Amino acid sequence: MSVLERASALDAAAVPPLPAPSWGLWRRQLAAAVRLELKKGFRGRRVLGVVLLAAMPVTLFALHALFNSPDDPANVGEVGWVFARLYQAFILRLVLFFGCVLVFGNLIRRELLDRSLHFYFLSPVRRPLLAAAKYLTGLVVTLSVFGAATIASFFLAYSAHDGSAVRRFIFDGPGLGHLSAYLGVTALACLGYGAVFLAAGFFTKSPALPAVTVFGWENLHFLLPPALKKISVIHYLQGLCPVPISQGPLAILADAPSPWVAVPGLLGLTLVLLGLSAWKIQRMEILYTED
Amino acid sequence: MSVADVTTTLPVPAADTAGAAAATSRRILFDEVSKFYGEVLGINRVNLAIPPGITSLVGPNGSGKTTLMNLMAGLLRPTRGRVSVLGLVPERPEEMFRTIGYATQHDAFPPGLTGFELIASYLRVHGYPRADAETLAWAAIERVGLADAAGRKVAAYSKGMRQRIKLAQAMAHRPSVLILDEPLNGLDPMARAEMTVLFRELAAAGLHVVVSTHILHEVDRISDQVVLLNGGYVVAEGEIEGVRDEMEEHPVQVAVLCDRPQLLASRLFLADHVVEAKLERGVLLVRTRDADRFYLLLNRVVLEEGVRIESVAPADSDVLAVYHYLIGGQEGVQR
Amino acid sequence: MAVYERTYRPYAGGFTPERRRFLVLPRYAYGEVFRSKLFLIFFVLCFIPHLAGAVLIYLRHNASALKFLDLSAAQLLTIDGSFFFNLMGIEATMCFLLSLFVGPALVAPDLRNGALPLYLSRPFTRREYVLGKLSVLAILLSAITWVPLLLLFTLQASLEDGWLAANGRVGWAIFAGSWAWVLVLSLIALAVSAWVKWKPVARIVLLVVFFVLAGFGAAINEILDTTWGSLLNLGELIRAVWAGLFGIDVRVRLEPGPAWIALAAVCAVSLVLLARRIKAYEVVR
Repeated sequence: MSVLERASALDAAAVPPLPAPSWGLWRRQLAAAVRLELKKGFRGRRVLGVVLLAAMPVTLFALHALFNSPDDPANVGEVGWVFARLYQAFILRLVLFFGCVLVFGNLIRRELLDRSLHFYFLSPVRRPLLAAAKYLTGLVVTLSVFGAATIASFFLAYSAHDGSAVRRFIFDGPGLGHLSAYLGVTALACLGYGAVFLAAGFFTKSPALPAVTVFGWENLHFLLPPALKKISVIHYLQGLCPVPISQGPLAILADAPSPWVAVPGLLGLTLVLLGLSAWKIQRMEILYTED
Repeated sequence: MSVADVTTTLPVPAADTAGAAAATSRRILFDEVSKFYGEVLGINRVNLAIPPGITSLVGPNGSGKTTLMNLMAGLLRPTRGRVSVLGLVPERPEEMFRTIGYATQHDAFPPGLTGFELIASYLRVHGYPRADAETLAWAAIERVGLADAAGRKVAAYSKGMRQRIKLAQAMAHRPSVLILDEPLNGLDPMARAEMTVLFRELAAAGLHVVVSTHILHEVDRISDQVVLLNGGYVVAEGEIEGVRDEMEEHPVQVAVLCDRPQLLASRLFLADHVVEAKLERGVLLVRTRDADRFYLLLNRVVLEEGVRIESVAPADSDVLAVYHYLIGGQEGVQR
Repeated sequence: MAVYERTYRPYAGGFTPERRRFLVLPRYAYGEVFRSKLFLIFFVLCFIPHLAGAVLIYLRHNASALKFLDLSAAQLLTIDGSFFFNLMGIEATMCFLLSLFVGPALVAPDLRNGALPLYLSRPFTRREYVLGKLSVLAILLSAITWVPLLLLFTLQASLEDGWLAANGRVGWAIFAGSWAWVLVLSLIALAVSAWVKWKPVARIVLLVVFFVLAGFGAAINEILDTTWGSLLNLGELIRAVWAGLFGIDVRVRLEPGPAWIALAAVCAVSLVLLARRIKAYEVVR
């Protein structure tokens, strides 16, 4: 069949019309963009780095369960404190932080280096919707991977103890509340850091520089005066953790923000940064360079 | 259409706003458009009105062809001026990008996708439901002859296959305007011929097909109009014959194949409007400043001298000759 | 087509020695690297600790300067192994930041843009390519580590009689310790750049390798009440190596022996990753 015959045969079918712009269309476009982002960036080996990061705390608590037999298996009280220390010092400050840098920091940068961003810009989609789709993709990946890691770590932390004592603690005691709080903090960390590094990806050539800056700031946070402590994501996240831990002898003490301030504050910061990202993508031109 | 100086705009009668609006909605318009990359000029003060049909953008490397196409497709914003495509602007992407399909020069694709996934996924982003997206994707893939390779990753395609999947991606949503940056690059002769036929068919159906290419004999064969660019400026636009007719500073060259070329040359050369007559491999090439008077003279001489003429044809009214005259860069027009 | 003018001649001039041909890569790389003003400023700042060290050494041996500043020699730091150990500690951080800036840009762009066939289709082997890229970092890192430190060592030895005899091993410790850190950083940066292929992602992976692994190691130490988790902390490893070389008593969690073995293993893994990635072709299925 020649190309003319092929084209004629196919053209016989009427072109399906696209619906007019509406919430239904935008929802469909958003879902399609998220699915495409997951397919492009988080399939197979590409998601291995994030999974390995998330596996670290799970491995830690698995080792803890294997090699640390509790003196009194019925006493689950100390576990909460051990988990709190490792969650705040390792999971929150390192695993979640760098996981978000890895996922969100490259959502736009990688596409510019791949020279494939123009495929999106040539689609009849509002550009802020594309920014929202990228953010949602990052959230889907980080929330699922790190949420699962938080849950697995939490239960592994208690796994060396007496089963009935653990069940009493979780279902009749504060256990479920603690787990919900840690999951909430994980989610808020993904939301907050995700928005920071998505915006950084729009405004900087490499997410490494803002990552080093924010990392340095957040890790020196304990030395900062109370007024400056408020300009950090970790200040609000630590305040939401159910078990407070000591910041060390050199730390400058400050009151932990109440959940009614911390949660809206973090969500507000997220919205502001997403707005900035939407503003920036609207003004972007396709000028691919190596840097 | 005439050889355009860069400040010429289309005349629109002031009172005929309905007519003007209708004309605008059928054309791709550039209104005093300039684009600078910092201090580097992309294009400067371009005024164009591209009608339906095949329009070829021709010019040396760095002349502004890709800049013009990127501005048309909304991937760049003009530093000055205004661009509209069939009355639509990039600020309304939901309308504009349903109308435009653009196959860029970039030989780069999103990683990890097969040919089918590349097309169907972006159609889903357009907003098409899954079944429609898949139907349109297969139709486009069939059209470019890649059905056998649709299930393979694009990264594993040859250059020609990547070029064809780019075309399929640009055409899949059946746009009214197709912008193709060097679409025949990397294609074998059979594929080039097929794609050329496809472009002609699309143009005949009323599409605007804007093509940039360096293959000048293809431009001659398929284009309805041509835009010549050099150094960021439009040096000529319109149908090739019309452009050539306006170039009075370059005498027209006519090739005459006959049985007594020396005699014919000696008689023709006596006329004041004939500036050159030379024999090249048995063909008489005559340059004249007045083509109409030349043909009258030729008829008279042939009758008087009984010369037997085999063929008479313009030797430099193609894109190659116009390119050489206006942009330069070759020793002479090669035949 | 008739050929009557045989004017084409192949190149008949001299060639650069094969042994030094890999130096072409750093020559061109430095042109790119020093184009960045930010990097230039940072590179200059890397010499400030050495400058401060030189001033301290000078003051310690200049009585009139001490008198002018109303200081005594006892108030200044003692110039011994600990002094150079601490100076190397500061430089180790600068080296890491320099590797973070320069390393990911070495191999990743070549792989992504398909430049390796261009290199390897010349009389240029994969080994020379890796050596050339390694030397970009190695030369830069040497310029801010053992070179200025050995100059300070020489300055101190020349100003104080008998100091060299008592602290001779410090010179060797500076040289060997610096090269250990230079090689480890350079190989890790190259391996990450080759494996990840995207410059920004490579930088983040380097941050993860240094910080997250260190945190993981610290967490293992705490949970299992051990010190073997420090094997994942590159900073701890190099400190243990340096402590052994300088022969000074500093708080380190590991013995020098296991630290050397761990660093050697890191270098070996990096070389394996490089060997797998640096090829003239790539198969995509």
